[in-house]
Amino acid sequence: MKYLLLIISLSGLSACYQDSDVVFHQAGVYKGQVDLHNVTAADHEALLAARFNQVQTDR
Amino acid sequence: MARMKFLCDSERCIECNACVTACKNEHEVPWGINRRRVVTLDDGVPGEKSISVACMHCSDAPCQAVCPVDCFYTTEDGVVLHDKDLCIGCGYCFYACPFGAPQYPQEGAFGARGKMDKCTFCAGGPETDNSPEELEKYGRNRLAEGKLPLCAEMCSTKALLAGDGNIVSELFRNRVVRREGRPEVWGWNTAYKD
Repeated sequence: MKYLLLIISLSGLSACYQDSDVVFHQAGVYKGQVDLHNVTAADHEALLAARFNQVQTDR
Repeated sequence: MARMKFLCDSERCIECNACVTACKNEHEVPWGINRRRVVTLDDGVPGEKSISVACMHCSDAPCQAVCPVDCFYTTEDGVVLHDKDLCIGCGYCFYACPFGAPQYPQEGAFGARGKMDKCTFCAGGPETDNSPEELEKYGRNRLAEGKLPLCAEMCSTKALLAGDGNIVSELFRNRVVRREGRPEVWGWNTAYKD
């Protein structure tokens, strides 16, 4: 009986812990994953401008 | 710095819905969600106008302002994206958006909303570019491949334009001058005030 009580109390206590993966919200602050890219913004801009001239200009 | 924008030329849109189909196919968007829609004004009346509507990636995005968990961010290209791991599906962004862009898959019981889904300007999400996780959550990342949104690229009449705002507006201005009309840049006054 003692062991049973011990097991029940231990299993009950097992739910009482703090998950370290929780994202603590802070108003106005983005705390998601950071979006990283291989090319710099300037290079990307030039690349997309060239693409625009290639496929979206008036026919 | 480039600021990516959409522009739909209502004089050219023929309501073919190819942009809608292309978007759904490219990103494998599930049933019930349309990241892009074609809206026709005065349908059936002579002089009806159609416009292709999706997230306009606003300069000062209202969805971003009202999100209670701040899951939105704006990229260096001016594209408004969100992290689905943070989204709680509350629906505030849907009420704030003037274009009705945010969509919900309605997963779960009792009408609970799933994670919000919207047009990403074919820029994926915060996950590693073109990773399987990004593809599954947000769809294809064409911008990382040096391509522009498919909806605009495959528009047969070139009604839908997507690209740097300066280039898009210059192209549209030339069109308006050529046809001697007045510019009807639908949505720009709402989405891009600055």
